Amino acid sequence: MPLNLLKFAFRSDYGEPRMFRRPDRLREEYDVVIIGGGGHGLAAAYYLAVEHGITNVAVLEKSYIGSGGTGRNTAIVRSNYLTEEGARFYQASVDLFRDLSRTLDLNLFYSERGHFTMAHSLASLRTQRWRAEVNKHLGIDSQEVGPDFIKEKIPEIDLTCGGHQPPICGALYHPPGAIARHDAVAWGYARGADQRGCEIHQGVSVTDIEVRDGAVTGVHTDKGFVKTTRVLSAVAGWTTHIQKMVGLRSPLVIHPLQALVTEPLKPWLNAIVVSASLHTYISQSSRGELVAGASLDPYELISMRSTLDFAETMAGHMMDLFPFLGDIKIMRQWAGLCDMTPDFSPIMGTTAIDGFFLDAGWGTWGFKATPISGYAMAHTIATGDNHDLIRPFNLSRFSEFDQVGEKGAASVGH
Amino acid sequence: MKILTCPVNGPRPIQEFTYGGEVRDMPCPDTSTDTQWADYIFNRTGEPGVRREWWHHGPSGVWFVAERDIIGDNVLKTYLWSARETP
Amino acid sequence: MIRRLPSQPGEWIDRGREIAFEFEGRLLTGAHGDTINSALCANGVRVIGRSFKYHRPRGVYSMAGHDAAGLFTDGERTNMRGDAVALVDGMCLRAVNTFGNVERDRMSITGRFAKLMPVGFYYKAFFRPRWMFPWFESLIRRIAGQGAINSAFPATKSPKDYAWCDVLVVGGGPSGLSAALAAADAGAGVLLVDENARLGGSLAWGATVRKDDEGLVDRVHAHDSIEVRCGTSVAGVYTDHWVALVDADRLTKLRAKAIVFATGAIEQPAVFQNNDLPGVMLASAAQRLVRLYSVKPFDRVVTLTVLEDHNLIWLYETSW
Repeated sequence: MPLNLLKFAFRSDYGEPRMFRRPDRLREEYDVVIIGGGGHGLAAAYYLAVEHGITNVAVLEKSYIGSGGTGRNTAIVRSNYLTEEGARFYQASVDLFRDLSRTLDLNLFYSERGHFTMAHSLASLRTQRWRAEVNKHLGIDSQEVGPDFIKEKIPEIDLTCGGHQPPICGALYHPPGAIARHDAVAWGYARGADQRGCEIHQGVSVTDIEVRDGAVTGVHTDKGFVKTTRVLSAVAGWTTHIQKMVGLRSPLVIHPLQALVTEPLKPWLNAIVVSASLHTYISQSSRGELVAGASLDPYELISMRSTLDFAETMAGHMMDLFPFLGDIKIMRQWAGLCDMTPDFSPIMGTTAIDGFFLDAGWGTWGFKATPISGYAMAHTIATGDNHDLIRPFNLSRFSEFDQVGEKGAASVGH
Repeated sequence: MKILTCPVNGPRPIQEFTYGGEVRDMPCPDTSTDTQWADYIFNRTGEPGVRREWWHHGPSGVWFVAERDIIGDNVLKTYLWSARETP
Repeated sequence: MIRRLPSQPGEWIDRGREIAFEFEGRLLTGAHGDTINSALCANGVRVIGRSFKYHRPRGVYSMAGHDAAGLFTDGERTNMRGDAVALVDGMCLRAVNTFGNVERDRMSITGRFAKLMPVGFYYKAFFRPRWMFPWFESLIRRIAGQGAINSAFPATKSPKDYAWCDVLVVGGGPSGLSAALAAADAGAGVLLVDENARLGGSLAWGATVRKDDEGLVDRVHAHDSIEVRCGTSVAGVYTDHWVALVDADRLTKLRAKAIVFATGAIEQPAVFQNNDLPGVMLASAAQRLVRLYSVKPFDRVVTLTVLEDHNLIWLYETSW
């Protein structure tokens, strides 16, 4: 039992300190301005302070922290990627995640559940085998497993999918696959950054970015202008807004991605279950809700509206895997914005504009990369040189015809 | 479910349609530079705002153009390629 | 049914059709038209469920589908909402997520450690050292969640249906009824839905009925251009008036040209210590119990209200 809980219990005058301050006005100048108060932006602020001693930093968030993709994802963390660049990068993130509760002194409920990517065809099984081999080569714990193993670990699953889908013939099993409390990740990084002097400004919108002679000179906001020479855009689904302000072109297109939760049930599903063919991933939160997500909505849209198609299709697919769920009620559905890249890898690092850094292209894979993105972007901003782990993900890879194809490792077919 | 108006078949549920991406001009493959070609291949106009897009009505096989504001999903008008206003 | 009142005008129960059911091992009797909660109240059952964290005893609170406690299982289905699900003959009910039974819940001991468990305490505990977390987590998972799944529940998908209308009116209270009539008189095809078993909304249980509102329900039922669906919830309203209607048997996907929301108010609880104990309830819950289900919710009463409509003294004087 931690000391502060005991203090809370036995002292009448012990008030809980706020997680972070609410500065009432912007400074005139910052060393670094971070646009976007999601997990990525806050992690970058945290590592700028911790690793590089840069604390004159403002995080500008137009809504509240964690209100975008950070609070809208299905909270899955894994590193079973297809390319060497990808697997190495996400594994570094998993390594940071494993100790993040201790690092941030906040229980993130980082829970290693084991992650199954079900294959309904031999072709799909072949991709899973490929991923398993790449993973093993890099020391990542992944293996191909057969139906008996799946049934042993997830006794409730119907491998025949009720005859509505081709039966499950195997899976990629990734034991370190985990889920975490996604909001807490944002809160933890926010508190850590704030304690070290960074400022978190909620309710501040960036309206324009000032660029002179190919270099950033400041940021216009709805609360006034601030001078800075370094700007990080960490806004995921809103990146196309920001890139327009500096005149950059990119392959990013925005699609909504939807998810839902059921009513709380006594925990019964331990593993994370993914079926690419059914466009479905399911896990059970520590509160007992089943959390399920799907593939992208089929056309570009910058709106977080929900659709009945999604709820209906998802309910059907959940029942294909777990046929007894017919009586379980859906409690909420929602959507988030995904900035998709053609190769399903992020766009990170320096750009053609001096002092403008991108942390974008987070599509459907952003949450799991939160710690390492913050870490690598902080390094890149502090030194002006791309961190080794993110070098393959630079925006320039497109003009150089040098993509990093991760589509085969996306959790569901998009 | 959203309703989209096909210029031939009238208002139909969006499930009957396939999105075909924004209307773009292809640079000449013989004369364009690698940079121009890469820009055409990869880069998109992902910003909010109204743009012209290709849509396909599946049951009838009609390709047409929609002018749509992608930030609110408001379709301003739809028309056949042959009926476009040429500058 | 020790707390059943003499027949109330407009009551929703059918006294001629008794229903036998079981709750936590006790054999009880209700009437056709009862919800689970009203039948429990009619039998003098005060504790119908337990709270999520401290397993505090909970009674009925809203009688309007908003109760957080009062979730039941009949062995086959789970998380059945006691204030919305109709009582059926032979039901064998238990409260969900109790350790022992609803009267004596072993987990209610957590209430003694409430000081150690302020809001969000779990963010501050259980993560040092790292290897201890899985152990803590398995404990937490044992007490988390509400109802348990039934992995033998039959794999039946409910049927789907489609519907179209000019005007959808959501809510069958006085304003919804008036809106439906006005739209239908103007020539529109109207669909009126209400989540309750019958139309009327607050007309059926409120203390005051305006003279103009008398006969509204009959006029709606008699109107050729109004289709009425009771026991039907609007589960979602999507782009271009695409609406999900859910009833006991099916999902209906409805396209409306226009929608009128006449959903009324959700009464909010007053905030004071122990406002969750059995016996404390919303004034509208007491009114619903008396007028719809002819159940005597109290012998003595203290009312806290800002609305004349929540006049429980009047209720007390006129109903028994």
